[in-house]
Amino acid sequence: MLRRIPPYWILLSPGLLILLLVFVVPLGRLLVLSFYRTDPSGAMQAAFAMEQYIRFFSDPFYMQMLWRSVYIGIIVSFVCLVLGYSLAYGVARARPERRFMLLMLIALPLLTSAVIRNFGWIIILGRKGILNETLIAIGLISQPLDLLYTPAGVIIALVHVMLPYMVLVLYSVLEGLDRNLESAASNLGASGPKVFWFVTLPLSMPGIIAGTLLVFSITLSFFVTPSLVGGAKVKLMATEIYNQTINMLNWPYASAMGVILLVTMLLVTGLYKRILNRRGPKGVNLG
Amino acid sequence: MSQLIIQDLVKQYGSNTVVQNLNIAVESGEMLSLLGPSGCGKTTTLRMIAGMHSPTSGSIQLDGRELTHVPPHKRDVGLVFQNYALFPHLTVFENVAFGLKRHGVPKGEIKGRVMGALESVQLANLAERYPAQMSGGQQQRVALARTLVLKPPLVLFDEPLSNLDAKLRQALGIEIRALQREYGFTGIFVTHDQEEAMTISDRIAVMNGGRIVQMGTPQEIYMHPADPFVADFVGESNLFPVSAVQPAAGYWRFELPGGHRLSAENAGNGPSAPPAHAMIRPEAVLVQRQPQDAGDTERQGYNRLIGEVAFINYTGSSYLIGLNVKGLDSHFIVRMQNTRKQFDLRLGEAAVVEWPIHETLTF
Ligand SMILES: Nc1ncnc2c1ncn2[C@@H]1O[C@H](COP(=O)(O)OP(=O)(O)OP(=O)(O)O)[C@@H](O)[C@H]1O
Ligand SMILES: [Mg+2]
Repeated sequence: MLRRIPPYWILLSPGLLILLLVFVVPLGRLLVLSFYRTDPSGAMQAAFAMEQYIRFFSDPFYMQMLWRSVYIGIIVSFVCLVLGYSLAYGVARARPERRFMLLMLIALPLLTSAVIRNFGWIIILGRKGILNETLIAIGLISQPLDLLYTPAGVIIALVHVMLPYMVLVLYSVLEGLDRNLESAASNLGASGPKVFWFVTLPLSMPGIIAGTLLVFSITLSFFVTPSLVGGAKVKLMATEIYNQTINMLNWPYASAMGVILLVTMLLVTGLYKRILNRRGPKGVNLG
Repeated sequence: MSQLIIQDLVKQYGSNTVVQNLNIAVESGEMLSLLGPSGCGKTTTLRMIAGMHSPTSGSIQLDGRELTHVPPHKRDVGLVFQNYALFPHLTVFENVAFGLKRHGVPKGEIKGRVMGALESVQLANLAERYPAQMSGGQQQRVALARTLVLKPPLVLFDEPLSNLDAKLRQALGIEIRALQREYGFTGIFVTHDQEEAMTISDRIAVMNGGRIVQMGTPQEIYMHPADPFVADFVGESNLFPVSAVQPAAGYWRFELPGGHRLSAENAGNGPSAPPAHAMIRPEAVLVQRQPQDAGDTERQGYNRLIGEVAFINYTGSSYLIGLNVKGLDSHFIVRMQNTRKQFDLRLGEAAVVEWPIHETLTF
C-alpha cells in the first residue's frame, strides 16, 4: 500500500495538512459566508445569493476603494523596487564583512512595533509635523503639504515598511549573481550602463518578480498603516473589511470584500507575470 | 600583429603585495603561459591587463598604445574565464553576438560572423541552445567563439581548461593552438598545470609569490630550471639539500643527507657560489635490481644510489618507481618507460639507481 504513494507526498503531507487547516478551511468558510444574505435588521441569513457582490459592484464608492487599493499597491511596489534595487545592489557589492550589518540596518523597520512606527509617521507627516516644519523652515514650501490622512502619506509609510522585504528578496538574487558575467560583458565591449541593462537586470528578473509580488500582495492586505496614517479619509479594502467585520458586524459583506480582494490580487499578479513572461528574456526561469 | 609590454606592474591590497614589479614582453602572435601555484597572482595580473583591476603602479602597453587607464570595455583585449561565464539568459548565438552588438557591428553582418566563429569551434549546429543545455567542453568552446568573433589582438585565458576532464583538456588545448593560428592573436595563458603550460605555449613565465621567477621556452624551463622552486614545480623531480660541498675541476662534489656522495657539473667557468640543492629528473635515471655479486663499483661519469623499492605505479606507458634511500626524507623517484622487457623490480627489494653526472642539476 505504502509503495504506491510517491515519496514526495510523504514529505509534503505535514505542510499540506497545516495549509489545509489554516488556509483552505477558513478560505472555504469565507467563500460560503460571502453568499449569505444580510437581512434589514443586520443579522445574517444562510443562503446562496449574490446580494453582497451586487452591492459591492453597483456602488461606485466601493469600486473606487478597490481601485485605490490596487493603485496604491502598484505604486508602493514600484517605489520599493526602484529604491530597493539600488540598496540591494549596494549591499551585494559591499565587502562581505559589512553585508550582514547593512542588511540588519535595512531590516530594522521590521523589528519595531507597527503601532510605534506608524505613530512616528503621524508625527512626521502632520500639517505641523516635522517634515512640513522643516520644509517651511528651509523655504522649499510656504504652505504645509497635506500628507497625513492622504494617499501620499499612506504610500510613504507603506514604502517604509515594505522596503526591507524588497531588499531582502533582491539581495539574495543579486548576491548569488556570478560577477564574472558582468566582467565578461564589459570585456566584450559593454559600458557600465549596458552591462546593467543587458546582463545584471535580466538576470535579477526572478528577484524583481518575487519582490514586487510579495510587496504588492502584503500591501493590498495591509491594515495597520493605512488605518493609522490614512485615517478615515483614505479608505482601502483592508481597512473597510475591518470596519465591516468589527464595527458593522456585517460578516457576509466583509467576506465578499475579502473574496473580491483576493481575486483582484490573483488577477493582477497573473497579468503581471504574463506580461513579463512575454517580454522577459528567455532562458531565465521567471519562477 | 600585436606586442604586449608590461612594465613594473605592481598590485597591492592594503599592505599585501600580490603582484610585484612584473615585467613581461609578449611578442606578436606568441602564446605565453603564466604558470604558478594557487594564489601567486596569475588572475590578478590577467585582470589588470583586461582592465578589471587597476594596478597600484606600472604600465601596460599594447602595440604602443598605453592601456593602463583605458576602461575595460574599450581595451579590445579578449578574456576567457575558467567558469566560462556565458550569459545564461542568452542562447549560444546571442552569447556570441553580444560583443558584436556592443561594438555596433551592422545587423546584416552579425549573423555571418557569429556563425563563422561557431563553425571554427564546431558548434554551428547548437546555436539555438542555452548554455545550461551544454557540456562544459561545449560551453568553453562557445566562450572561445564569443571572444574570438571580435578578433581581439590579445586574448587572455584564465585557466580555461581546469574544469574539464583530462582528455577534453588535451583536445581543447590543441584546439586553442589551432585557433591561434587561424585568428592570429597574441595570447597569455594562465594555468597552474605545468603540462598544459608546456604543450600550449611558446614561452612560459613561472610565477611565485607575485614575481616572475623564470621566463623561457618549455625546454629551457624544464632542462635548466633557475631555482629549486621552478625545478620542483615544473615536472617531476628529486630535489635534495646538499652539504659538504667541494669544488673540483669542472665539478662540484657534495653529500646528500645520509652521506651519499654525488657529483655535478659546474657549468659556470670559474668560481661561483657553492650549491645548496641538487635535483635529478626521474626520467634521467636508470634503475635495476641490485646484482647479487656486485660490489659498490661506480661507473665513470655516473652518480649512483642504492635503495629499497617502496612503490611501483604502473601507468601503462611507464612505471613510476619510488625508492627508500637511507637518510633521504622523501622517496627517490624514477620514471621508467615501459620497454616491453621483463620487469624484474620487486617491492621491498634492493635496487640501484644510476644517472649521468651532467643530469644532476645544482642550485
Ligand atoms: N580583492 C582582494 N583583496 C585582497 N587580497 C586579494 C584580493 N584578490 C586576490 N587577493 C589575493 O591575491 C593573491 C593572488 O590572487 P590571484 O587570484 O591572482 O591568484 P591566482 O594565481 O590566480 O591563484 P589560483 O591559481 O588559485 O587562481 C591571493 O593571495 C589572494 O588572496
Ligand atoms: Mg586564478
